[in-house]
Amino acid sequence: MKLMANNIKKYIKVYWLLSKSAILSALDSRYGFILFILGKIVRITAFTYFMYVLVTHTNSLVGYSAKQLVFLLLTFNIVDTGSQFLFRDVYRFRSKVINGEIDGYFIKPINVLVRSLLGGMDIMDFTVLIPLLIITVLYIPLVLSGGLPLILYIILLINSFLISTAFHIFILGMGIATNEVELAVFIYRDLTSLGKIPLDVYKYPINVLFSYIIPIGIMMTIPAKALFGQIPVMSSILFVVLGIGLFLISLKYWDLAVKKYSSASS
Amino acid sequence: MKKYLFLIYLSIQNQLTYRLNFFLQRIRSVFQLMVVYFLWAAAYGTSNSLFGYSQAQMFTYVVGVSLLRSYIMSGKLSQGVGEKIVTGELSNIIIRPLSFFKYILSLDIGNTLINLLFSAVEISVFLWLFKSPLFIQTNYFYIFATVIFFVLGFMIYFLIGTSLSLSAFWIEQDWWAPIFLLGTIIEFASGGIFPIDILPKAISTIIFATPFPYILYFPVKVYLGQVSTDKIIQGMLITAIWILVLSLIYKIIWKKGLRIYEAYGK
Repeated sequence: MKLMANNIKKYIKVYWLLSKSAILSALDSRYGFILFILGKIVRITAFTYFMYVLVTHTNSLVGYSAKQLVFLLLTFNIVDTGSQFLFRDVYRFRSKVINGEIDGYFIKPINVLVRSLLGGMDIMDFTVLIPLLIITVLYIPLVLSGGLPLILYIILLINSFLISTAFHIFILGMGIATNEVELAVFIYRDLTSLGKIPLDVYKYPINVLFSYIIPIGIMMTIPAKALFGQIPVMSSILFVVLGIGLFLISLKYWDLAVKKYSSASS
Repeated sequence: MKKYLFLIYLSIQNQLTYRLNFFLQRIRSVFQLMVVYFLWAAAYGTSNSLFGYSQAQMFTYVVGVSLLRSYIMSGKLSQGVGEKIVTGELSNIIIRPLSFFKYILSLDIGNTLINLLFSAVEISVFLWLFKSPLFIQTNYFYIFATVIFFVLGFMIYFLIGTSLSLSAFWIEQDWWAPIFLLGTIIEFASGGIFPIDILPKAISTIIFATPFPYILYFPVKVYLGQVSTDKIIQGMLITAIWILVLSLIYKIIWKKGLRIYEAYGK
């Protein structure tokens, strides 16, 4: 227990040191910092406005009201932006494998996976995430259907981040095994962008494929549906089990990939 | 002229060399189409008219924009000019007996031709799978005008992308930022997600004061036969003026940039 606590302290300290470095580096490019945030705000606002215009003309979209759709979008953006905030370093992983920087990770007393996954927070995404969280919290009363749905929403949101972590671990594993990280990351981003709209919108078998096999629906749509009171407790438990299962499989894949790793250069 | 045609050929060869990369890029395009297509399919539900568009017209709009996007917006080289400036690679290009503008344009044309071909195949398969109603234009005048606008729209996007990339002469590390912001704005303002005329008049008037609608929205509207002959001619004039203005801006930025270029990367 004490060892685990010390380890956790150690990783928090390392994460904070890496984050400080990442923040200072990002703030050095103030121009890029401001334009990037503006771009994110434009993207989120424009798409939300479009969905609002669409639903107000159709009265509802696959049974969702305008308020519910806006909340779905807010949840999507929290998971999407939150994942980018936590795992931005995954986007830089390929260059580290190619130039051999990753070799240094293996000889340090820090878990290589943790180091590769959490290479420091992205301050730009953090700047967008905070207002998103505030808006979402303020918006919840407009769509909330009870106390239990709120608890399920929080649990399933955490589950979404667990699934996102699993996906990023898969990407890192691919990076070790094949060097193909960049495209894998962008494919992941495009897959998750399917969750921008409720997965009920897609026709069979696409909705089944992206709900349960590649669990985009569980990540993006299910938490909001839980808040609307549309997800029973047993289903929520099943989704959490799926999330934990995927996470464990990703860890196994990472172990296998690392065993096959041979340094490209140092 | 021969050397530029050869560059187009080289660009196509380059795309086909990295087949996995190219294949995964195509998959990304299909995901992007899916989000917009199924969203509109759900919005229409059982009704046949929305925002003044029939189902067939809206699906044609979505598919047309997707096809155009693969053709017009796949030109990565015009936007990658910034990287060539920052790394000093530009030096290798400007010492050659080539116009830099025509060099980049030729490579982008090669890039877009191959993407257009594959996009046409993907969209055909997509439409066949989902049995989507489509509007088929039979008036040769509209078809001819659409092709002209395809070319003009490509030039507008190319000039904007290249000019913004040239900001690397001054802002070096952050040259990607204005492209990111403008790319986000263009995605919506060009009609990439929805036709611009569904927006309130005040907003669409502002958008029409920019060159963006002539990249995707206007060419597809012409194809749908929803633009009168007067407006088509007016549109061509406006587009030609924008191309002249953007060409002038490009020339000024290029000349000023070359004066301060120091090839740091080399």
